[in-house]
Amino acid sequence: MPVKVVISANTYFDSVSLMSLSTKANGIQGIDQAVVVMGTEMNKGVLRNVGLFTPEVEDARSGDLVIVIKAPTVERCESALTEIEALLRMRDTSRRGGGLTYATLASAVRHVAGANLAIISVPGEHAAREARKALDHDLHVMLFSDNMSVEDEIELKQAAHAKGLLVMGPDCGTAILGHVGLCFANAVRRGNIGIVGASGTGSQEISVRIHDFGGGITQLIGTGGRDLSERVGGIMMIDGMRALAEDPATAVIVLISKPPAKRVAQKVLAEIRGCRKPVVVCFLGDSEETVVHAGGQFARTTKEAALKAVILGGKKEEEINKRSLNLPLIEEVRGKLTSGQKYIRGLLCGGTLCDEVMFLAREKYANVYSNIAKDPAHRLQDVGQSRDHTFVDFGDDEFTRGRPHPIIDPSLRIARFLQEARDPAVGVIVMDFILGFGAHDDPVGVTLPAILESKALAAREGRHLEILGYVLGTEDDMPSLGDQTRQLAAAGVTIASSCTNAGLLARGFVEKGAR
Amino acid sequence: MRIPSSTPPVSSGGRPGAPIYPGHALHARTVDARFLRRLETGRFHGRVQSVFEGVVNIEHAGGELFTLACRDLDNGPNTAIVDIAGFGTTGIAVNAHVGCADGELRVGHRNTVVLAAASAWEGGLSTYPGANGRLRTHLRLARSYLDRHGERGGMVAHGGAETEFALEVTAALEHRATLLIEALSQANHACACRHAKSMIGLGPGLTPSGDDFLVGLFAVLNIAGSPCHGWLGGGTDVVAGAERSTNAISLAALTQAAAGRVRESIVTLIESLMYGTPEGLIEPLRRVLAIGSTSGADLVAGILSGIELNLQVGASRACQ
Repeated sequence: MPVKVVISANTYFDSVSLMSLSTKANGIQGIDQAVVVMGTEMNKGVLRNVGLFTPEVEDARSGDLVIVIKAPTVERCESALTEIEALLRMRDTSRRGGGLTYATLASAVRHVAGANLAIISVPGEHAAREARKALDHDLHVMLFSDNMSVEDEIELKQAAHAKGLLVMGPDCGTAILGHVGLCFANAVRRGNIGIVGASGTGSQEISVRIHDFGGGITQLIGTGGRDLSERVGGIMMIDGMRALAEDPATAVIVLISKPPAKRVAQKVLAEIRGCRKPVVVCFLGDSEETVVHAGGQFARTTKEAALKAVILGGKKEEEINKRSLNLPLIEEVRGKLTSGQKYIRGLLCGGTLCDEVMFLAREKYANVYSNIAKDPAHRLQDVGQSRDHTFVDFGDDEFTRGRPHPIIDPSLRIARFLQEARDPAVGVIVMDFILGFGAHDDPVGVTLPAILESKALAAREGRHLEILGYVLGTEDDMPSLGDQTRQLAAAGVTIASSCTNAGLLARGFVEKGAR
Repeated sequence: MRIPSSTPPVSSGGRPGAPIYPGHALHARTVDARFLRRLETGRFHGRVQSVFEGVVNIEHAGGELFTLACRDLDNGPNTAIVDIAGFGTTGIAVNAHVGCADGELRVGHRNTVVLAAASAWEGGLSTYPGANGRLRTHLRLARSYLDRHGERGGMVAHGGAETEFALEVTAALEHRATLLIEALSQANHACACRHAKSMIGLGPGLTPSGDDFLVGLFAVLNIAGSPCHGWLGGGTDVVAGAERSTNAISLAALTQAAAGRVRESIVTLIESLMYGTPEGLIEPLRRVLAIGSTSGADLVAGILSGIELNLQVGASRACQ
């Protein structure tokens, strides 16, 4: 029976946490045995006696935490390990506040042997300089910073390309490299699917859907939202694809982006032709024909992209819970709305989530407006005022200049939500709640008072207000998907199981003439 | 292009969205007298070794471990009790520099522990009683209480279905403890020392069960005037050369216990066993059993084994 071992160096948890962790680990379904102990010689001796000794155990020292999992299959071991690591993160108070602090990048490189990546989160005007330093030290770069000039971005990406390094960003919020989640990444299962995303929340959404469908992730490489623009030319999308093509653990590649510039899309699709691994392409709103012509697997939505990737990765389709759309629910909600309640108002923290919900609405309705609409005729003139079907991306520059991203601080959206709830023409308000390592501690909890207030307001006015919530996360996130959805459901919020379903439900709820 | 691997781990220190903690001026209530004397010299430098909700461990530049504990915890060797409910909100981080100046212990850039109002704690054990009757009665009561209320999984055997590893650990602990006590009762100290060393680092928990058992036993071997006083050098013979056998936190407790220095709840329990009343025994027992997960039960098992050994050795001497 396979045995999987993870050693966490110099890791101290109090005894109560360790025992609780051990009990929970042994309660994970489908595993034969889990052991969580300090790596002392005596404990290693016992592991040897019960047949759980491996070369990794041999190397453990008395201050190291040793996690051993024995399960019928390697996949079960891996999946149990993901669950145990999530439990460990929840209990990791001993590292709260982070590790060592260095005054300069050079000092950090000197002291952290083997460091291979720098995450840069400084004001945009300083970010390029720090990124250049990191590249000079042969570090891959993740640029959380935004507001960097496109000239700097091009120069950095060309320099990185020449050195065989990644520059993820600017404005890159999500990556998973070597099973380490960075910035907003979610706690997802390890697997055989690699993602390259020019869209942070789009990448999060696909990784979480893959997890939900029973698949797992090898790497998630972010490129920054401007990478597929005409000027940048998709340098990192192509380098990311090549890296995944070379990565032995990756069997399937998924590309996710808002629609790229035409010439860049052609470049990326040309790369697919030469790739020996299946590539699923989700360029939201783009056409199927060009992707299929290039030999790629076209996906219209994020959910479809994840589903195709999981099936291509070896999961049997009949074993997947596809979370099909709840059609009776659509009928039920239509019945509650008056003829005057015609519009969807999407208040979203995730840019790509906003794009996808809006794109699905646009398939049905022409009068769709947004602060991020490409077509000036559909762009909101005043971002503070909604018009017909309106979708607001609260992560766009006008809302984040000088303040944290709404995934960290959703307060602006809460104020806007109450404004929309007062509008009698509104039938449904759609909101996303994004979980992840760097996200708000309780995005649902902080919005609940406003949700309850709006429900009470609508009730006083004798109308039904449909609030549709989508929680982007997994059970292994902290807080967990279950915790957040339970809070929403208790407040009378309808839950969508994916971003795609949120878009389909919202447009169905207010569909005119269907009543 | 090679994808960056995750070894070494990526530091989460600069993670966007990580909380920024305000500074704190904390106040020490009581400080172990020896620790306080060190601090009063003003020459104390170290780094934060580990942070838990209730405890911050500091590694002195000389290698010795010192502890800041929250107000709900008891006094102990090298420990300062700080008037705070928990350290989770202080932002104290592993590896933060710790220094002492102007009557304050400075922890990182944002936290200071003010020592001005702190009183000194002296935690010595009383001498062994002249008569054994009370001790025998209390030993029986305490054993029965431990069997009924002690957390299972360490020195107290499991009751139900457990993993193969857990069963093997419990069996090894029981076997080695039996060999240790037998060797001591036969005054075969070399053999006892070997068996004691084989318990260091054995078992579940941050402080492995074998270590906790030995801490309890060492405390008793350091009771002045007891029949076994000073056996195994009070424990120093066992701890010598065991630096790599267990983790730094557990080793610190073993080293202190070998010098007769244990936390206040253990001192109180041993006092109650020697001089208390049967009714007064329960609360001290309960307090020790509440330590950690199985640690409390493991500590009590060590203390009671030591007391039993004293009674046995004392009785055999009386017969000679």
